[in-house]
Amino acid sequence: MRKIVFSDISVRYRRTSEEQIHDINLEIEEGQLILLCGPSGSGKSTLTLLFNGIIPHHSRAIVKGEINVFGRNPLEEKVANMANLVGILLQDPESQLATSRVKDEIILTLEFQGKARDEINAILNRLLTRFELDKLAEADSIRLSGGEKQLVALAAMLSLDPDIIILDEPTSNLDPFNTRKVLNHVASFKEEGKTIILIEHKINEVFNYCPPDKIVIMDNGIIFDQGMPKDIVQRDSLQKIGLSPPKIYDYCSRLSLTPNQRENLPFSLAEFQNFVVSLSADQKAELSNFLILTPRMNLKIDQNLMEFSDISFIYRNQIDNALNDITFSINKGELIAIVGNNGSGKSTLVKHMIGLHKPKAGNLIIDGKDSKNWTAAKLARKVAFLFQNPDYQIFNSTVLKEVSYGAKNCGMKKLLAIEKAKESLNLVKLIDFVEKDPLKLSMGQKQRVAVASALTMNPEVYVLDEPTTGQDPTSLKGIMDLMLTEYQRSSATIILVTHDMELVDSVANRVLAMNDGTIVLDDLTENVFANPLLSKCNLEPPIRIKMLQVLNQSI
Amino acid sequence: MVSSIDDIISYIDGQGKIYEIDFRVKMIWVLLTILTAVISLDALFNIFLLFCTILWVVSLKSPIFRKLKRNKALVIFTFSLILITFLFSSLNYALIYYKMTRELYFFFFARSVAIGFLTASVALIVLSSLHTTKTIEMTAGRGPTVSILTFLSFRSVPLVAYHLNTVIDSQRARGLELEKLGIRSILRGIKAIIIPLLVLLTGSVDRTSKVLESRGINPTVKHKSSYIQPKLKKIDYFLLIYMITLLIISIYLSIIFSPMHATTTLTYSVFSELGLI
Repeated sequence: MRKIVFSDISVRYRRTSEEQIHDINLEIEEGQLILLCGPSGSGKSTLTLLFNGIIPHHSRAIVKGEINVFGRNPLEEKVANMANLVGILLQDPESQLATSRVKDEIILTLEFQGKARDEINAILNRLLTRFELDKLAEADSIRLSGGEKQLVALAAMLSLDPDIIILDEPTSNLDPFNTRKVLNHVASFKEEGKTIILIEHKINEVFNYCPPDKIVIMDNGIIFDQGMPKDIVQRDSLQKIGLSPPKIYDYCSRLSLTPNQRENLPFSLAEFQNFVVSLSADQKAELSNFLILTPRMNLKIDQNLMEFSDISFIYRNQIDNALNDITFSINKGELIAIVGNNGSGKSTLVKHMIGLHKPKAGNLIIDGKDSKNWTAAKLARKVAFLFQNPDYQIFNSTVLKEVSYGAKNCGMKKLLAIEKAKESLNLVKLIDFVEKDPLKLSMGQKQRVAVASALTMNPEVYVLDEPTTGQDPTSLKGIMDLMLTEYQRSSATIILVTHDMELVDSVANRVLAMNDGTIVLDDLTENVFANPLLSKCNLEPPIRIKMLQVLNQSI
Repeated sequence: MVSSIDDIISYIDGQGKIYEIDFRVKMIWVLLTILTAVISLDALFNIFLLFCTILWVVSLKSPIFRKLKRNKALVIFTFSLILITFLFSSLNYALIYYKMTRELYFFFFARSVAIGFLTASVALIVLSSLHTTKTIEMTAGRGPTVSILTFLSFRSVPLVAYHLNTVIDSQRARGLELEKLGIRSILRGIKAIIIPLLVLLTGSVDRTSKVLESRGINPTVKHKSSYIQPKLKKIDYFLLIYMITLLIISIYLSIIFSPMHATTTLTYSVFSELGLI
């Protein structure tokens, strides 16, 4: 059996003094599915780029140690020569497509390998069918959805039929529907005997759709722990670096179990269905109590803040409305989640809340005034919008200037803005970074700069746009903790835009579920999760609810 | 006569033969149409071109022709107009009809260009440019550096637009008002947009190059095979021959009917002598 062996590997990028990863010793057997996890900046991506020699040939770096990838040495071979052996898929589908037409993306790779026309045709048709892209073969790749683009990138990568597949957060930008689709493909690659290295933060989904053979945990540039999933979880290695074990395992491990039951704790829903059979009535009742009780924030609902009446919106040059007859209201002090798949209209809806869009039909009243009387700049004083990627806003030369920028724009006096900025930086634990260049901070620190920037503006409403996208659980928890502290401290309203139902389950009191520009559900969180209409939005309830459903069936 | 380019392509059948024509031929067709139009400055040649275009439209069973057939009054009017114009303009005296003919011709000329480009998507136009560049580079025995760069440049346009819009939205949500600022503030506002945009694009470019290289796509590596079928279909050859013939006839007629040509000069003298002009 062929193997991938990393022996005493250390990597230092040119122009940096510190090693990104060091003393890496890793052995992967052919056909294994490896889940590589760890916080952002722990060295996961650096490690994976060594597999085909992107490091050191493309990203210049000094590499110490030895690498053997199925008998070949990527440190010496050209990257192009390794393309038949190692395929890489990144998280951002937009950056991975080089051509303008779906089928050209696949063809281009094959042409560079010198394949004959007939062979190209055969591979092309096989991949288009496999990824259900037949109807999109001639489509302009620019116009595809995020999920479709990721499938095209996956098909292009697979066109060379590599034995090793590296997937670097492939579902990060995808909604639950497309996440499931991509992870199901990962499971099929494993069935075909491919060796897979999967970097993924959505650990619950991974265990449900493509359970790994081995987990490798990285932290601060080293391999913190590695082994069988069961051993890793039992050693609490995930928790030690701020990650969570699969929720199903977590809930079940809290029960009073027999040693045999503890040996067979489930990781996925399929395993849980078998596990439930072994539980006694008392254990089932105990588990039911865990699953039913979900601590939520105490609501401090005040008067009406925003009122949407029959709002419709259409983008220029589009045929279909992005929003259709939207009617609902938000009260001050609410913690509300707007959920829906990509393209369901969530972002369009919140852009109305921050004045970036004006309704084409219907009325929107914000704080007693018609939205037509609110400019985006005026609304910025009232509603802070936190974009999913802090790189969309950071530009100042120091952290202090960056954090006080929005407040000054909103008319706050310079000295007061600086004072408020320092207070906010203290809250986000970045007070020692005031004079640092924000562009040189880590992604987690940049997120906290963005939060501090919003806090300094002292708004009444915080809108968080897809906070889970591209975030490791530690960074996400950091942001959510900050927001919830602010929520408790002030009378702020929080609007959470997401398709992460686990996050919704842990924080939101009320949920608005959207599909095709309409609101399908608007109710308390528990009621929305119990409503069968949720599936109409291509969404699934969180693991907790799914476990409850399985449990109730067994009683 | 033609209010917008959308009006023109709205007549084109989605399943029409036009879509079967090779895009390389379409590009040549558009170029030849423009060249022919430039050469044909006289009303007579415009009439000639008009008939050629009608012939072409009929040959492709264009829906616009079917539309015309349904409207008999319009057909009679159009053909009467063409006939009268032809009679007069053939003697070089139909100046009053000249403008009308040109407008009519413009309709078909614009339509030709529109059909050529708009029945091909932007993707196809880019693709065609790329393959032409690629062929030149391959013939020269070089790696497809320019074609890959061309491809990536076209492909990155929507990405830049998306990032730009999001950065502007992000800064507007932080109270930036580009509309109401002075010059100094506008410069600061631009800085607030340009720097994040550059950071985002640098990241995108880096990711793209990594992914392409890992797929064995490298501009310095020689392109080894080509999927594009070099063979043209019958309809492509028909169109090419038709357009080249049209161009040759236009050149020939433009020489024959040139004011400097003996025939024209003689005709002019005779009519002048008769007091008709």
